[in-house]
Amino acid sequence: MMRSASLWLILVWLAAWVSPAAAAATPAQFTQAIDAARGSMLSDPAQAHGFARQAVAAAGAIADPRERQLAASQGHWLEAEALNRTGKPDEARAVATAALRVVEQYDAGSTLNGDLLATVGQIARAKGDVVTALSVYQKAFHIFEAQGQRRSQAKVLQYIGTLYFDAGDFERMLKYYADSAELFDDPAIRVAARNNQGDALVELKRYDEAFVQYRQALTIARTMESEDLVTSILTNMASAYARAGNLGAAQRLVAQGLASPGARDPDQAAFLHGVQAQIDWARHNTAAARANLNLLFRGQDPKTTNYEYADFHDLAGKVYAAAGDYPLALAHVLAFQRLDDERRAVMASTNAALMAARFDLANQELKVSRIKAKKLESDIALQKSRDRYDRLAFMALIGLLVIAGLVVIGLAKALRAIRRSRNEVARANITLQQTNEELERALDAKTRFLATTSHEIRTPLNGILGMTQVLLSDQSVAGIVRERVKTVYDAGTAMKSLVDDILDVAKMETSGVTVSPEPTRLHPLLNAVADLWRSQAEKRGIRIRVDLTGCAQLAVCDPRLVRQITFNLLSNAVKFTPAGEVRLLATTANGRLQIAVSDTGIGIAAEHLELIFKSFQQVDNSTQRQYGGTGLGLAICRNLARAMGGDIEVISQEGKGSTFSVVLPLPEDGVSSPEIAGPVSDAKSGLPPVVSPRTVLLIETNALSRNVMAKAIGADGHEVVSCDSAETAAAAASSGVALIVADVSSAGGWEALATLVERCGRTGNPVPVLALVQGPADEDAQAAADRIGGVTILCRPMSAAALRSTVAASMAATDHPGNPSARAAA
Amino acid sequence: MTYHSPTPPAPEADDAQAIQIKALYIEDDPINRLVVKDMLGVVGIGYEEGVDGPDGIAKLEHDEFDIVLVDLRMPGIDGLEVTRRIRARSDSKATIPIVVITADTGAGIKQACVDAGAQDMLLKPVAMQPLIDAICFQVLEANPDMDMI
Repeated sequence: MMRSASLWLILVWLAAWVSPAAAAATPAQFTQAIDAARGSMLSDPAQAHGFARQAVAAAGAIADPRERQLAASQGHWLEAEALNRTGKPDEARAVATAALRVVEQYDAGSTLNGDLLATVGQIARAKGDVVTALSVYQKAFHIFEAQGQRRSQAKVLQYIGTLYFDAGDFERMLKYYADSAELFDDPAIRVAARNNQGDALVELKRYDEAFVQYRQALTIARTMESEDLVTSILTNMASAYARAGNLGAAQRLVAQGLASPGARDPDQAAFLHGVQAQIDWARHNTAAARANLNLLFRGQDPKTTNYEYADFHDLAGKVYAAAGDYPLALAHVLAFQRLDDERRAVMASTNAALMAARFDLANQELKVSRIKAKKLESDIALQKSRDRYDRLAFMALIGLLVIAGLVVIGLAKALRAIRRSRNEVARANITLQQTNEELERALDAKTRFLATTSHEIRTPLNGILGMTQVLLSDQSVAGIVRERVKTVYDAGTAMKSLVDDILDVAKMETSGVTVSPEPTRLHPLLNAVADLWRSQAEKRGIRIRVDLTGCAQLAVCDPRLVRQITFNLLSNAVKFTPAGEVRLLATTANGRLQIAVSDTGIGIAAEHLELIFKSFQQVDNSTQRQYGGTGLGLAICRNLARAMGGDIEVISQEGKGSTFSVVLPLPEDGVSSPEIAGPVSDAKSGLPPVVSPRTVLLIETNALSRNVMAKAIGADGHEVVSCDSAETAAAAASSGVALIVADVSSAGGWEALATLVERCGRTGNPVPVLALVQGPADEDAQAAADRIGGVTILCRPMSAAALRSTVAASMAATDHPGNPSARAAA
Repeated sequence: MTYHSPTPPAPEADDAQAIQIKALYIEDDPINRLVVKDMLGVVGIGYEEGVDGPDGIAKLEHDEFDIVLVDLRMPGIDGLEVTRRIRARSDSKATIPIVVITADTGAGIKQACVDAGAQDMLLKPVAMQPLIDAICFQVLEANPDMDMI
């Protein structure tokens, strides 16, 4: 439960620096003082404090009251940072809180506002006020997010992750650090992420993974030429190896650490001696352990040490006792006791506050789950504008040099301050652990709530949609009444899709997307989705074109998700296209499935391209009023595409139209060649072989029989056009019909059947017919059948299996122009 | 209830020999029962209902059915338990096709239905044609060689 104090976390200090009021008449003294304070913050916070005070004084000379207040706040911010770093969190808090009030009045949402919040969070953390720390970190995160400052966002995420480290929730801490690294990548962020993830993995006893992280951190620190960082990381590694029981490696790392330039700092060296003492003790070398502990505690009063030393006090109690130095052993045992008691006291006082904060924590969880999506979102923008990326990279490089310099100069002092601040918070860790468990329960409760709500909404919808369908299926409901029932049905359908969207997003946020790839027939799937939108599109005069010529028949993907993405993209295209056409183009090439939906619609202005993939966003509120919908469709598409390892992008021209492309990776060998347009029989896929599907005209008056027969024939992939009478069959007859399956009396007798065959055209090569008659066929029937030609008489009752095999046989025997193999031969 | 069903389709001349499918729907919500009853009525699928798990199991005991449709969430014995109890029978009714109808969109629900022994799961609000298709399909699957056409 207790975390060891001997691992050091690396905290990134780097407020994004924006020179205050550069355009306004800012006194040179002020700017100089600010720069000086900033430059000395890490190396000498006491000096930085002096410069910050000078900056505050110089700000008084600014004429404009707003500028004056903001400039002073800038100074106060640095003053608070410096105070916190020199172990005066109470004063720091007072200064920072006052400055924050000013900034939130004059320039809310600014970078300075975010920086101040992050500082207040650090101070609160030093004071063990986790609730405040968390809430101001969240606020700061929102501000940096709105400002598009991803580096600062990443930094705040790391700060939040550190709270979880303090709380002993290492799994969640790892998650935050992983998120931060995805959000922004530079050496300073990465070295902190690697080292701190290493620390967390050690606590989780996942030593091998920890060593990988540490080694990477070490490489980065060496590239940054930061001696102090190198030494801290070596210390952490040594401690980790000691804990993992690999004393030889630990020993070597301690030696390496002590030999490194960073160990010139006594603080760094002291901890290395502490680790050495742990190694000695494990090797039963009491004398050496004692000597190293003497070095560690040199100049330290056991009555006033901080939490960092707790574990070493514990060790010292044992070592000195074994060496016979009982008074010193007792002093260390008492010190350990004191630190332990202190921890419990802080724990008790923060307990109530933490309980109250748990729903904030829940919100933070949700927030973080969106971060990856947001980061990827920016990636697309970056890919699209190469030069903007280059500019950013250049700026990042400049920033990096400044940062690396700052880190190198002052890490030792910073670490001392950090250790002090970590100390108090760490005591609350047991309580936070409990809070986290309660948080898990709260999240579970929320998921259950969503599931229940969904159930509650769907039940009445079931009544509305079900009964309107029953009414519409009754042909005696006609005229204006039918129109009105249709309106109820359409409204219910629209409501259902809204509820589905909201639930989809909620589900993705709570439990993520489950991807179940399987061999999938792409052509029928995509055609079916297009068909779902065709009638609505045609009603509005929009044509839907489907082009699958470059698309494989079979591919391994999640058909449910592909269907949902395509459905949403088509929905979007149809919705935002007043006239023209919507085109669905699917291609498989280079191990990827690309689905592109183009329209000739209203298009999207360049500045809105980022917005449209966000949940609940349409380009503006009037769009929402005009076109309806929740604005969730594209957000869902993107989440689904990313869950499958792919992504979505959009090219659009306002007033001309848009093209949304989803690219999904396919597993190797997961795709058949697009050239195979005909029968596909793939033993590997586990799917039954398919005779190329064709249109079957079915005539049967009895509704149930008709449905059963349609299902039986359709099971082999054929498209079945079901008709309940000779009249409807006549209307549906066309040259595209490959086979007629007809109950003779339903079709109006043999004469009518002959007319129907004629209506299907193709003189000289009549469409084949399966004619169903009740009981044994008589001679008259056979004669009638012979007159038509191509007729097979089937006697009812018969089984579904018999019907299927007869249909398959007559399809195979047919050699008419609709048959692809015949077409290929011709 | 003052609800009146729409007029059923006029009986056909050949109906004496037309196929008969009879479904048992176990559901505690009366509106859902009405909806499914009328949907099945449109195509002439026979209908019987159980108002909860025990009632449904009792109905199955006393009559012959081609398919069982069952709601997932019911007080007392839920749809999964009903499914398990049917599958645990020792007579021929143990293999009757079962389709679960539920508004529950939670992850893993479908797998839970399959694990309990159901053939399929339909999501509420269930549309008429998919419901009829599912019934026809399952009845055909269960009786491929029976003279149903």
